[in-house]
Amino acid sequence: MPVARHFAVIGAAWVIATVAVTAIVLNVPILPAVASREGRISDGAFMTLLVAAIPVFFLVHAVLLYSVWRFRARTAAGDGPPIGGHRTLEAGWVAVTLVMVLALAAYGWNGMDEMRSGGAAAAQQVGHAVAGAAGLPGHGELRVKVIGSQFAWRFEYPDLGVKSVELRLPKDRPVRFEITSPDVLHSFWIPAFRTKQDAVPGRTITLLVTPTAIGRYAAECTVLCGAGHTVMRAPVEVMEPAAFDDWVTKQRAAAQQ
Amino acid sequence: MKRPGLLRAILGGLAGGTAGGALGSLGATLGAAEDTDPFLWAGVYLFGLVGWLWGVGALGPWFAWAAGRIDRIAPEHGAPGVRRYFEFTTDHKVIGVQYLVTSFVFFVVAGLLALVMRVHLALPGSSILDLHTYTTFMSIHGTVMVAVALISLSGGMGNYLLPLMIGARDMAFPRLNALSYWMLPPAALLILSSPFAGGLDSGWTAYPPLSERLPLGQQFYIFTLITVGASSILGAVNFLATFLGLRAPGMSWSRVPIFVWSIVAMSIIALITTSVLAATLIMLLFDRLFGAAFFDPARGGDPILYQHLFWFYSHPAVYIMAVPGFGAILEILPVHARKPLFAYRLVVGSFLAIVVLSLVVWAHHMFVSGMPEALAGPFMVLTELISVPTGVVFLSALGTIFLGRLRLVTPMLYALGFVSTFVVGGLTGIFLADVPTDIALTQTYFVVAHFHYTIMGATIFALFASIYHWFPKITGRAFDERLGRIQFGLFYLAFNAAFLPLFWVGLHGMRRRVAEVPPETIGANVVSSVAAFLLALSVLLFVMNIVRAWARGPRAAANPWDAHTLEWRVASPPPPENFRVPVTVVGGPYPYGLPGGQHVMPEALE
Repeated sequence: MPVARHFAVIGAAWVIATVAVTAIVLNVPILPAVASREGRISDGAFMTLLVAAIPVFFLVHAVLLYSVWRFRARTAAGDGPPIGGHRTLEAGWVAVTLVMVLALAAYGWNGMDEMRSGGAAAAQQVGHAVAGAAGLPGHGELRVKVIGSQFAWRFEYPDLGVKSVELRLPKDRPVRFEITSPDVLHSFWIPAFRTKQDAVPGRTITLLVTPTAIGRYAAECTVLCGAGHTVMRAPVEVMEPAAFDDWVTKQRAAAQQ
Repeated sequence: MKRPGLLRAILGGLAGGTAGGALGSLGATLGAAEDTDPFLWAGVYLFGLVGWLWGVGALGPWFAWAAGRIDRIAPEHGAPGVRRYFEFTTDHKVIGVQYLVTSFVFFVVAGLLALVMRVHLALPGSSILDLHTYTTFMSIHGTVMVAVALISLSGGMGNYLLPLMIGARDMAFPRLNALSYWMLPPAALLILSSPFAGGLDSGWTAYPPLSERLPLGQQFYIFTLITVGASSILGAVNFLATFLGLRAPGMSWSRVPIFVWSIVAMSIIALITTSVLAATLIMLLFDRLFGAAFFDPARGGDPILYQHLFWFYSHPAVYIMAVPGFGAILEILPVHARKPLFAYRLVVGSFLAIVVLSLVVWAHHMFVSGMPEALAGPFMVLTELISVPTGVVFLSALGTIFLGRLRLVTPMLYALGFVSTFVVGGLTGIFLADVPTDIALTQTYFVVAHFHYTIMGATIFALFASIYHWFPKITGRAFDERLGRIQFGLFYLAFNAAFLPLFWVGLHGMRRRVAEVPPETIGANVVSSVAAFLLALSVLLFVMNIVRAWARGPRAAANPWDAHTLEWRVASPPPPENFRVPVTVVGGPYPYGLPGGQHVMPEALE
């Protein structure tokens, strides 16, 4: 059997498997619900990498399984052909993997910049919509100080004069989290937002996120911070801006009593 | 008691430990330390280690040599029979087996800890383990498995095979070689006793400031890793010296078996990076013992500095584990595919490219750590670049089996299994190198699944492949091939069933290192736990097969696989000093399919 025939069979199996599985992957929800602008960028990157990984996975397995099936020795004697390499194939393999990797890296760099922009454009868009309600400062970013300590989270809204053990956020308004810790390392993660940031004692580190979906979530610690790490979490709720303003008003009133 | 041996080693360890404990306490009292225990136990371990090494006979000869009493140094090829495995010996083959068996024992111990954790995770709301015990078990599992992955293939197979494959009688520094092995048992004992000293709540990474506040068990971790690191450095020096100095005539760099190249690449990485880990851990120790404040922000230190230093070693360590696995698999594939290794020179170049790139990828572990943002992009690109030389391993593996005449014996099945599992590990690595996806996935079970697919999928699959492949050589006996194939089938299926669901679990929000399961992932976690027990069952089958074959398996021929490399041209098991006649290498290591193709002269060495 000429080598070209082997390649044809492998190629056909590879294409069929790749197309079939890619179609399934794109039509089945793989990722849980996402609730932030940055999370959507991350999920988009995940799906892109997954779609890029599928042909590589099946190329390796197509050659592997075909070889096991077709080149299995049925008699004891004899060696295969003494092929020690193939210059064009070797150079091509290296070139293709290099190009793929650089393309993915460029795509990743782009997504990274987009995530870090913190939705500056989004802030301008929604700034007017949320402004002025209940007389609260509503323009631009909402600042939230996040303090992780063994084994609980605390949240402070310095511009609103609110302190809380639960995190409430208005929908579609960029949030500037200022994350720190008084004791050991923690990491601030709301799975539905996707992004996370370590809380480092002695530093305050900023994380920009724009929540995009109303709902109840959890903020969890993802850096091992001691035996109580497992239970270190706080409730999170993303609300309509008006409902958020009501909550802020009530919190302030409660604090003054 | 006059002869060095295990008994004298234990007594030496006890005597050294007692003296060291007394010295440590005295020092702590004189220095007015608040807590004398850390000093006491530091003394116990360090002096106990020296006493143990003295007792086992690892130090005496050097002192005799330094004192000019060379006549007192007897050749140490050990006792005949099984006893030599329990004694100090300079025979690289015995040392290789000591490494293999020791690391396998700890593979089983750490695996049993994993089973306990998997039971805990499969029964939501259970209180089998409290949080502290769970975290301690998890930390010990991680630390011990990292050590196993670091030393099993390179220390075991590397020691056994490297001198044989290059036509040497032993390693360049046989006593150093034995020393690097005998340092390990006290270190293993130390980490396993950490639950009795306040446990280990900081994982295998031991990030400060947490690791500076935890009880004595954390100090045990530090000493364990420094000891393993020291052993690793000595081993790396020895491998490089042996490779550079002791190759047989004609064994040019392009005729060296690929496994030897992988050990050389591994040794270069280990030599460059391991001392950084040791220094980092000594700084951590100084923070704990003397208030040095390298990493404690409350006193002006920087915890992120620790992460940079730790990962400067610990990411290359992944390649210290994986590259010997690549080498072993690419050594085994040509034998059972009956074809030369595909793209030999490109593979050697790729190993060396991995050496270089492995040094400049560490900060991909730190995208959310708070390090300067400008570092993330370059480290993402460099990390993804390492998939190019790693991809060459797949080209070589697939090119070797394509058009071959494949014998699907147990070691070959494991080699093919490696190709199948490691590609998953490699591809999921891209998700963790890419900043936008890593920010979501890091510190979740996606990472747990990923590194089990790389470390287990590469190193442990390669370890099983190697043990099966070279078992007839090492023991002179044949294992049960049918049981071997069943064991592989069960291992491959159970491995995938245990770890594939964990990617999904991670995507659905389960964090690493937590003792509870998010409700929506219970089903997948139960599947993983059940599969973990099947995995354990397959390891049990392996042990049964190997122990039975070693004790009373049928005799194996010197070259049962009809291979060309030098280790197969001597008797099984090879005699002390390996070669009775001088060896000349006349061609490449894989002359399969070449009429009259030869790797060595003379054809028969026995």
